[in-house]
Amino acid sequence: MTADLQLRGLSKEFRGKRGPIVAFSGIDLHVDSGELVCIVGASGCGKSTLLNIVAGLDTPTAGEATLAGFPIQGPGPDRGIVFQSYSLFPWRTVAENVGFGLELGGMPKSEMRERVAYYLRVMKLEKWAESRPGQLSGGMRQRVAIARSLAMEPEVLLLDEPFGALDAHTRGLMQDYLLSVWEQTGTTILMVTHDVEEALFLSQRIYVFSSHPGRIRREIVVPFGVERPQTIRRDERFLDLRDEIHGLLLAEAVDV
Amino acid sequence: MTSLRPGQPVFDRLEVTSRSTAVVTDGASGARGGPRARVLGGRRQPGFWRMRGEISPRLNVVLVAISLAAPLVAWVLLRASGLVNPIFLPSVNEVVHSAKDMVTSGQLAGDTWASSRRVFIGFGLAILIAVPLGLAMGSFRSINALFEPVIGFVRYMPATAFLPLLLIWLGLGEGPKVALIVIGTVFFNTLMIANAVWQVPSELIRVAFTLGGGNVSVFRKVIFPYALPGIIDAARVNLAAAWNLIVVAELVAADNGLGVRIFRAQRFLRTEEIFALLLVIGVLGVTSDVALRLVRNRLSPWSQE
Ligand SMILES: Nc1ncnc2c1ncn2[C@@H]1O[C@H](COP(=O)(O)OP(=O)(O)OP(=O)(O)O)[C@@H](O)[C@H]1O
Ligand SMILES: [Mg+2]
Repeated sequence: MTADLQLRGLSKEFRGKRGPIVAFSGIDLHVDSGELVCIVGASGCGKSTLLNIVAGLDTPTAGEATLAGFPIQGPGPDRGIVFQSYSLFPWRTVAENVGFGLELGGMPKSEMRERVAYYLRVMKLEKWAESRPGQLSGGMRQRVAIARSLAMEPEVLLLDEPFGALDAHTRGLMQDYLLSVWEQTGTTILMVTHDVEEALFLSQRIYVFSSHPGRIRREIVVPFGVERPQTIRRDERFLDLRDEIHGLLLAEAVDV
Repeated sequence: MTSLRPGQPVFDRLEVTSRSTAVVTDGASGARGGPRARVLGGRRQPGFWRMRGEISPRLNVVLVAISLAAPLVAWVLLRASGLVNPIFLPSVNEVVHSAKDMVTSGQLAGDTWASSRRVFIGFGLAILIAVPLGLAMGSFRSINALFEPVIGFVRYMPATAFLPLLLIWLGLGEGPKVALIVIGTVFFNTLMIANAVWQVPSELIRVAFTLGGGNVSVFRKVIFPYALPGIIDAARVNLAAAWNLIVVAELVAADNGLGVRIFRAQRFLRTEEIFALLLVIGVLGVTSDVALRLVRNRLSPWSQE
């Protein structure tokens, strides 16, 4: 387990029609090996752009992103990403979707079958192995997308509002899934969400972003252990932190 | 036994009345004598006019039958009315006879083969150019910037206007006919295919790269399979243009083919033969369209879900 994600002085500008658009600037953050860290922030503060840079799908204008000390230059199987829109291959079965990256990597068939079966089990998808994405519900689709990334056994899993399109009930279930997967696999996770309670329930640390341009407004250490029973949602510290983060985001909204 | 309380919501009351009519006699409810139960929303459109609504299988069969039978009936009636000179408008019988004659003499088979061959070769070449070019244009902004302007420009030039040039350049053989079909369909095919490729969600491509994909494997395993049904649909649309163009090319210069036959029939005022030949072209077109649709559904069953 070598993952130690470091972003130093990371900035990103886009060329807009009327001059440059600063997505974010001067971001310093780190995610330690095996940590689950969340980023919350107003819409447009550059959260997706930041994840894309870590995934190697976009390049920063300034600053540096490193994983285990090595600079990130392009996409690679050591960093998996899951988007809000399920992004599954509609012509492939669930099992074939999960095995996509392994197939590209040329893994032997029998080993691949075992690996896929394992992650289908982890995500409770065995029953749907032969279904196509078109036949699945949103929650199931997102589980397939997560299983597909996990099957590569990445050092870091990047999640961009993965449960944003799901109803509250399904979202709750998915959060439990994610926690149990995180415990089982020990994967390092960096997750973007706009749901403050979700961030508090799942993560060990939270970066609250401000926008225009995106900056880190505050870093919050979540004072709960690895075990996360639903009851912590009623814990006083949980509620206080929730109000504090909401306050930060609200002040932000008033600025705009 | 449920009794009605005044002020109970209207639809509760209706539910009760429908179960036990005895309750209605309760004067206080006013369910019978009073105003009709309130209805929410405007008039419910019948199946025919319900936007994006389903229609019953029966209505569907009826509408398809009308669509096919109405022109035929109009033709028969118009001819029977005697309002139109019989030379202008042949009877159904004459057309059928003429078709039979052409079939038995072997002439129709020969002409159909000659025209189909030209369409097949010309359109095949156009597809052979358009598929890789469209895929590249839809995947790389660079390639798109390189080709889109010139294709967008040339595409507005009527292909048929190239025919005189093609005759000068390529002579009177098969060359100009095939070339006309290529010119007339390659640009539309390319742009429509590029457009189908732009529909591939960027996130799907991005995910594939994070899963260890490179340009080649993402092309083969993501972009092509996703765009395939769109590519086939583009071909279906443009195949009709190919049939259009082959007739024009043959009218101008050829010694066999359905277009030639139409031109000759015109010289002898054999309108029944023209009708028969037009119907043959229609049937050929529909057949190839249905065939392509089957291929599409076979190769990309997921796209119908
Ligand atoms: N390709 C691009 N070209 C130009 N500007 C862009 C591009 N991508 C993002 N931006 C701009 O950068 C800023 C940050 O966008 P980004 O999508 O990263 O925000 P976000 O925090 O993920 O927002 P949301 O919560 O709505 O998903 C926005 O102002 C957006 O308009
Ligand atoms: Mg975003």
